[in-house]
Amino acid sequence: MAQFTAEVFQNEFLAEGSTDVHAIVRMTATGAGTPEAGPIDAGEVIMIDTSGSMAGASFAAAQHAAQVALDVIEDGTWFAIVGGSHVANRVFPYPNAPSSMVRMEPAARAEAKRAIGMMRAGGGTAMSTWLQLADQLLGLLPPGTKRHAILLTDGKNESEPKHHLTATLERLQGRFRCDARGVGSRYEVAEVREIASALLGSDELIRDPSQIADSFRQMLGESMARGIPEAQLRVWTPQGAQLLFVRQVSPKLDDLTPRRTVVNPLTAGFPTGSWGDESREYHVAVRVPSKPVGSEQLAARVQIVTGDQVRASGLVKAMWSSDANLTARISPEVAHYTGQAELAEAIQQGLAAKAAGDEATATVKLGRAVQLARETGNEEATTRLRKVVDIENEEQGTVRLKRHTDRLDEMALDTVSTKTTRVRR
Amino acid sequence: MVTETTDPDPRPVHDEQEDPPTVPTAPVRSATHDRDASSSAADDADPGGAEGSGDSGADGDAEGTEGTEDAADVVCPRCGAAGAAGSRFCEECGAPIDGEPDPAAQPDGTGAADELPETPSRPCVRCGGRVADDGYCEECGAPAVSERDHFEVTASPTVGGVCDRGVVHARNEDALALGEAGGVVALVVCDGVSSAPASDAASLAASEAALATLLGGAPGGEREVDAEGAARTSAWAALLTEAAERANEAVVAVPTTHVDDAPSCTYVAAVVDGARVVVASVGDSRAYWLPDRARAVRLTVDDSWAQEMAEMGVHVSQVRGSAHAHAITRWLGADAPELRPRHDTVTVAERGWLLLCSDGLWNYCEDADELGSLVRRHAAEHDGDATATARALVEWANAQGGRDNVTVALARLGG
Repeated sequence: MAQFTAEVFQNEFLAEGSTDVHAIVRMTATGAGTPEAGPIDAGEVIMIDTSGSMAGASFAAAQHAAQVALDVIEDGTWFAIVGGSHVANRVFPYPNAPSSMVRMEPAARAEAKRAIGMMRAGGGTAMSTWLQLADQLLGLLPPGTKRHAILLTDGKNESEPKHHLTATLERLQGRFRCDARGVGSRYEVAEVREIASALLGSDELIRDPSQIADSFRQMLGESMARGIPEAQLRVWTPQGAQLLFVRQVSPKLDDLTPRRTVVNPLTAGFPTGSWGDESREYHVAVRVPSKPVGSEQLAARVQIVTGDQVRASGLVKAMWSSDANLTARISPEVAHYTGQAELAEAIQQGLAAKAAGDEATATVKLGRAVQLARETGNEEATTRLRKVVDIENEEQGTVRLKRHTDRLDEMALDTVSTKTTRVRR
Repeated sequence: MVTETTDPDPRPVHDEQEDPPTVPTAPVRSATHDRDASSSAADDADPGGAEGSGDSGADGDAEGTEGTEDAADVVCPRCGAAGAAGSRFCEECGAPIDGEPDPAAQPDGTGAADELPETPSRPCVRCGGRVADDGYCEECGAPAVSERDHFEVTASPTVGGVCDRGVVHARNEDALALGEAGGVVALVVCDGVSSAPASDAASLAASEAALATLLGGAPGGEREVDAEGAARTSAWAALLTEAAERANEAVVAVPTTHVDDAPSCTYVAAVVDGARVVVASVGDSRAYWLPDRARAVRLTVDDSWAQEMAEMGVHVSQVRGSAHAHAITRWLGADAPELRPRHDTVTVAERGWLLLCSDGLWNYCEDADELGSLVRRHAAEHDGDATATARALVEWANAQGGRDNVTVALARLGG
């Protein structure tokens, strides 16, 4: 039986006249590997980029990886393979098959591998069509089924206007989880991130096609271990208060604010997708009307909900005080994650400026990123920043842009920018 | 430095404070208004004092519940703590004591003893919303408040009051009692002196004892006031003094382990008998007559150091900043200097509000006419309902900072 716990990190003391309450809320699931009520039904869709650009080593490696992935999918799991170019094609079950998804069993696995081997590369790239097909397939499964998809691409989403993908993602939010992977140096980090973020999945860069199989194996293994198909984060705020933002800050940054749904007039809901045994941390910011010194108020209840059952609840409080020793402290957790969010922004803006040829902005932003990575102890970010800039003074954040950088290094830095480190204790 | 008029013991209360420019002629004690003044109470609470009372095991825990044997004869239905006879609220957890014990919470630890303190099921006192199991309101997020920390009394739509802990203080040491019998309305407000322990129990006991005495003067009551004309007013004044004496006895009966610093409180009471309003007070809780279309009248004179300074001609601006500004010179309690309530009377010839309040309200609005406008404004917003208006005034005082307990009792007079 899965258990959730909630922990709150904050400085609840506010100075007279202050209105903004910040807290980090950590939600931890344990025992999630064993499904709650018998085996849960699961569906997996694997989307492989079959556009013309894939032809060659990448395509062969992707085919191999998809075949390997089939071995990881447990018997009994519904599955389908989609080949994506400027259109989406169902590779398996075969287009003329009577059912659009089938349960995994040895014969189906062997036939699916054969079908993957017959895929051919050609055409453009319109990822919204792939995602729509995946949604159609997963939508056939009964309610309560855990729905998961994998998307692999090597190129830009160039065969459709950008807003097609964005609109599609908006529509598909909460319908299934999608982990997205880019292989090689020709895809857009921001596009893959947008897909993963909207569909509550992970995004990663695969440097070399030979690593695709490992990545697929890992994604499907993790998916199989997520025993909680869907949980919702709920944030109650008192009458007259304003929920400023809700941001996932660990294990990676993801602003949930735009995905807000209304549970009731005082409670906002945010989909969090499926859970395995893991901790996720959220930065919640609430603005409440100021109260006289000495007053206490609950500023937020932050809850994790499955079905309609509250599984864990964290209380974010506000206490107005005239003691500056109490009110001046900033919670180390809030400070840490605020720094990490700023770090992600500095990296992304710095790389964008660099790509646009604005070296002055790029130098300032990436310099600031070096400084923040040091301050927040994010060594992975520091290591990756070193491949893009020469650091003169880490503490002051003075850097010079490297003359010749590997585009893969910049993409890796961009991808890693949203990954956060935990607070040092 | 402080001279005594009726009590031979010198008062230690102000030993640590700077001498005022002029020494008051009556004993002074720090009233509820600032908790810092209670540091002298800590000096008094040394173990030697407790041993002197013959109850050496009582220091440090459950103060006031085991001082005398015959007092501990009610048991809190929620937490099981023993309380004095006639207690309305538990001194430990603040739960109401209504004489019907909850079988799930026996004092011997059986039943549901390992459960968390029971969630108050009554609505939020700030907004009326539901209070969740986590102890906070589901609407406004205010923390749950115990019954002792906020209670309301309604005698009729035109007579009611609210007693509230305020924002800053940890305990509500104010108390309120009011009622109506045979056409006579009686209202009592007492403000416990926070430098003395158990003053919350003292103020509650005092207000209830006084109310019982005053309602005895109503038609059919055991002390029915039957004189006519001026003698009727005098009879009510005499009963108000007697009510103060009964209240004083109730305060003295509150058990305490601190022999050197007895529980104590202020007293203001009013009787409305037809058009006749008679008021008595000890300390700095006040009564006002606030006619709708005439100037407001303050019916009480504070027994306070500030008042004495004013009477000596010291300007109010010099008094305000002093450490003594909120010290009272008379109170109810075992160590009360003398029990001689000040009286006043008014004949109601028009519509208006009779207001009794603790300094938690009037400290934010010293001017009587402004207080009148404040009451009328809130009354207009609540259709003239006395309890709702009192609640709104308490909220108003809390919004100003709520630095003290706040009690407001209102009666709509003149038809």
